[in-house]
Amino acid sequence: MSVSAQIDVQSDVPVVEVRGGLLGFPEFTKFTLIKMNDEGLVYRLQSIEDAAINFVVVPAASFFPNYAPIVDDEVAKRFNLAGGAEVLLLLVVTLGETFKDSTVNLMAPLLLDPNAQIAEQIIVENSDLSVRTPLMAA
Amino acid sequence: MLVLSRKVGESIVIGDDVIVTILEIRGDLIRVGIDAPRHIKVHRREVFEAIEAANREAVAPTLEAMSEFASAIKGLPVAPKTKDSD
Repeated sequence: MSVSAQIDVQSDVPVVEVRGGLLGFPEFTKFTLIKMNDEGLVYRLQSIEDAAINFVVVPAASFFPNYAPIVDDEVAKRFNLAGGAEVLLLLVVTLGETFKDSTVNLMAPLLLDPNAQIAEQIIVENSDLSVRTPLMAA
Repeated sequence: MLVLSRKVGESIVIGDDVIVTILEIRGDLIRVGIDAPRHIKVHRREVFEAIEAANREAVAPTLEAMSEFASAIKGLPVAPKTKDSD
């Protein structure tokens, strides 16, 4: 069989595999991560399987510098955190009517290994973190 | 729904490799231990449902809303100190 035509994905946009999908959306596991501003403060996570499935995510460190959720051992192993893998924490944003009404989910951030292009929505157990924390509380 | 009675220290096996053990009963609080392979996610139901609901609320914003959000962030006086390394 000959080599088939390449899938027409924007070539400079990496495809990220979200293992298990986001909770409630297990069927969507392949996403493109598109930078939405020059400073890298906003990204759009768009499903490859269904372009209508989009999530807005922001790097946690940029808005909540003291946010350091405890990751359970299994997750740490999967991402090789002990081995020094560089990972990013991204927060899923729920856009509000206005910017000030927008909230982020601190209880279930996305852990992203940008080199391996693998991500996972993890649940920070035993915490008082909210799934709807105002972004402007940062 | 299958209903079983168990005492402290007794277990229930689900499938081939999930074991649920009753560890302690104190008043109306029951401590349960769960042994499951790592691909099986175990969470408190209310936590799981809260996150699902939040994701459903977050999914599929309009392109316009996403762009507005991105521009609003750009205008923020509180810019992060560290830029991304890329």
